[in-house]
Amino acid sequence: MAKTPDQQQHPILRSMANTPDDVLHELFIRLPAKLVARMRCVCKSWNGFLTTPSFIKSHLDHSKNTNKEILLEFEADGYPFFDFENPCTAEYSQPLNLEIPNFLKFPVNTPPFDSFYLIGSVNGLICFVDEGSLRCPTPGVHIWNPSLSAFLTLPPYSTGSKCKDKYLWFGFDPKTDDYKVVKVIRIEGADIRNEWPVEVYSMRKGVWEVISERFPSHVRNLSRNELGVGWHDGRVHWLGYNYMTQQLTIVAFDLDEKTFCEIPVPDCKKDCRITTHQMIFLGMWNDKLCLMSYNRRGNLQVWLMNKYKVAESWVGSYFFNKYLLDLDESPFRFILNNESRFLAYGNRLCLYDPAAKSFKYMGELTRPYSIIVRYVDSLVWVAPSKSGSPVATAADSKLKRKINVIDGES
Amino acid sequence: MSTSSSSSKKIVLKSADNETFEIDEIVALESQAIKNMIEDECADNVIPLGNIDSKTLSKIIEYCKKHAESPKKDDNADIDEKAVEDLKSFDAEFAKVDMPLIQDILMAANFLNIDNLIGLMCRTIADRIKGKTPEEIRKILNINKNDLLSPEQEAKAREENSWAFD
Repeated sequence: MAKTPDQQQHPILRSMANTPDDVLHELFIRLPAKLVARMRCVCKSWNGFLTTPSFIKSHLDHSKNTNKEILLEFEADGYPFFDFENPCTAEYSQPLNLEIPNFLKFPVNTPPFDSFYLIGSVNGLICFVDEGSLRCPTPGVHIWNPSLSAFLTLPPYSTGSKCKDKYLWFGFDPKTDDYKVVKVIRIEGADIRNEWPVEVYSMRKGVWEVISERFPSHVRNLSRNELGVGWHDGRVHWLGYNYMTQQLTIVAFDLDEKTFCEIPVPDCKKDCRITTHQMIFLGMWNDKLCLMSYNRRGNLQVWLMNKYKVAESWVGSYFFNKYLLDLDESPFRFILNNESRFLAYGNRLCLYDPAAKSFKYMGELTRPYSIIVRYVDSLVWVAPSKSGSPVATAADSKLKRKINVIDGES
Repeated sequence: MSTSSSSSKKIVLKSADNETFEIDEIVALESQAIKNMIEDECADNVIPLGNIDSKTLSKIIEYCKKHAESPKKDDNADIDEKAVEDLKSFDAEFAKVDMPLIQDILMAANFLNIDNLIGLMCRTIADRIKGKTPEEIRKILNINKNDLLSPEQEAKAREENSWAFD
C-alpha cells in the first residue's frame, strides 16, 4: 500500500487504497462489521488486511470501548427484540452509524425455538440454550453473532441430554484464542463420583469433550442469574452453596487447564446467606470478581475482590437502597460495564456511577424478567477445525461458508 | 475568541508549500502531537509540517479553532445543548468536501493526532460508502485498477461475506 511519487504529487488522483496502513487501520476499526465485510470485496490489499486475526481483534477492542451503550433486551423465553441507546452518551462519542434494527433476527433457516435461555455473551458472541420444541425435541446449545448473522448449533453433548438439572457457561480462553461452553449436569441418584460430570465444548475444535475433572460435589444450589459477566482471564465462575461449610462459595473453572477451584465469598456473615428474601449476584467489574447482595429491606451492597482468589481482598465497596432507585419489588439484576459505571435493573434500567454515587434512570424495560446484554459489533467468529465434527448449522451450506470465512485463517 | 491567558501565546505552523499560519496556542493544543511538542519544549519557533499542504492545513486550523472555542465535555457538568448542536452542525458543514480532501485531512489528523477529527473523517467516509456495492465503493474511493481482485477472487470474497449484502 505504499505511495508512488506520482501519486504524492497529484493528490487528486490518489487512491484510497494507497493511504498508509496506520490511517486505514484507524478508518477500518471504526467501521461497523457489515461495512468491513463489504470492504473485503473492494480490493486485493483490503481483502487480505481485513481478514487477519489481528485486525479482527483491533476492531473488537475498538467496538468494546466505544459501543458501550447499545443493549439487547431478551425476553426470558423469546427473541431479542429491543435495542437501547443510552441517552447519557453524547453524540460525539458514539460509534459511527451503527445501524441496528430494533428487532435483531436469527439468520434465515434457523430452526424455530419455543423457548430458550441465555448462558453468556462474550466479545459479540451470544450463547444460548433452547429447551427443544415440538418440531425439534432435542435441546441444543447455540452460538450466535448478530453482527455477522453467523449462527452455530453445537453438536449434541454425550451425557445428560434429557437431564433438566444442567448448568452451562460460556467463556473466552485467551490462551488458545478459543470460545468454550462448559456443561455440568447433576444426575439424581447416581454414584457420587459421577454426580457432576463435566463436558467442555471448544469452538475451535468443534467437539464436546468429557473431562475427568468433576464439579465439586459438595456445592449445590448453583445460581443461574449471573449472565455473561462471570468470565475473566480464561475462567468462568459459578455462585453456589457449599454444604460442608454451610456457606456460599464461588466455583471457578479454568478453561485452559480444565480444573475447578473454589473462591471464598466475603466474610459478611448472615448478610450473604441465600434466603427467600435475599438475592445475590456474581459478576465481574473492572476485571475484578464482584458480588452484589440484596436483602429484603431493599439494601444493596457491592463487594469487589481486589486480588483474585485472595479472600482477604474482598471490599464492600458500595451500598445503596433500591428505594432510591424507585424500583419495584421485582428482582434486581445488574450487568457490569467494564469501566467506571454499571447498569442496574429491575423493571427499569439505571446507570450507577460509584464516583458520584448517583443513579441515572435510563428507561423502562419491556418485561421485568428480561435479560440484558451489551451488544458488541464484532467480526469475531471461530470456525471449527476441519478435522472436528462437521458444523451443525441450520443445515444450510451458505451459512457454513459464512462461518468459515470469518475465521480468517481458513 | 477565548479570553484565557494561555490564548495569548502564539504558535506558528508551516505547511509543505511553505505557507505559515500563526494560531493561538490553545488552538494548536487540539493536536495531541503538537501538545506533546510544546510540553517537551521543542516548539519554540515554527513547527514545520512537511507532509501537510496549505489547503489541508487551513481546513484543520478551522476545525481546531472551532473545537477549541467550544466548551469541553465534562462528565460532571451539564453540557450546553446548544453548544453541542452548534458543534454538530459545524462538523456536518466541515465534512462537505470532496473525497481527496477528506483523505488528506484524515491523514493529517492522524499525523497530528486529533482524535475527534479522525473520527469525523472516518464517519464521513463511512457515510459515503454505506449501503454501496463494491463497484460503487471502488469509484468513490478511487481504487487503483491494479489492486482489483480477480473475478474468481471477488466471487469468493462476496460469497464469504454474503451476510454483509443482505
